[in-house]
Amino acid sequence: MAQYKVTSDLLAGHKSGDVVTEQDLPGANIEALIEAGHLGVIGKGNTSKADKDKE
Amino acid sequence: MAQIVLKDVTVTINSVDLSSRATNVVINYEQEAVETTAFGDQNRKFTNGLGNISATVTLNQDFAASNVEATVFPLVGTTTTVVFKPLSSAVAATNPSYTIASTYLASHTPINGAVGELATTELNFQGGTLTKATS
Repeated sequence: MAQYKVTSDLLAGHKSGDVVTEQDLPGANIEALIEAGHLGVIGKGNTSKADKDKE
Repeated sequence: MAQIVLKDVTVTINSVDLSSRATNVVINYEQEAVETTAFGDQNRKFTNGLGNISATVTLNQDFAASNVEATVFPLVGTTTTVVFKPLSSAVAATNPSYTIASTYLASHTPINGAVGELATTELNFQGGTLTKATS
């Protein structure tokens, strides 16, 4: 199961730096969370879209 | 607790806590009435048809990284889960949570307001399954 690093402080019940899976975010649209900069995919440089935009 | 003034509503959209930007929430919990009246009846009769859940959320717009616009824009035209609570404290009989799963974000108004007004956005969620929790 894919793991994601929390990259914002607005994810309910989690703080920036936490590692979560889809099971930790029931019903959530993971792709939208990545695009919004709330999650980064672990194993792909831990970067969210927001991080990439800053680069 | 009896009657309350809404000051501390919790608004979670796609697992993102946007309470600090939310200013208005309306949950519509409807059950369509299907008429079963027949000859011989003196009054109309109904039975329950399809459920029809929807919600409207107004947010103060925020274009900062990972804030309102970044969170909402990718959700338009997709389904997600939204959760609302009257108070930010723990779920209880006096502070129930309302979760709408698999709800479709039908509309978002990225720029909405007149000159001199605060920028806001209104979100319309349609469909899904409503669950009320009291513990």
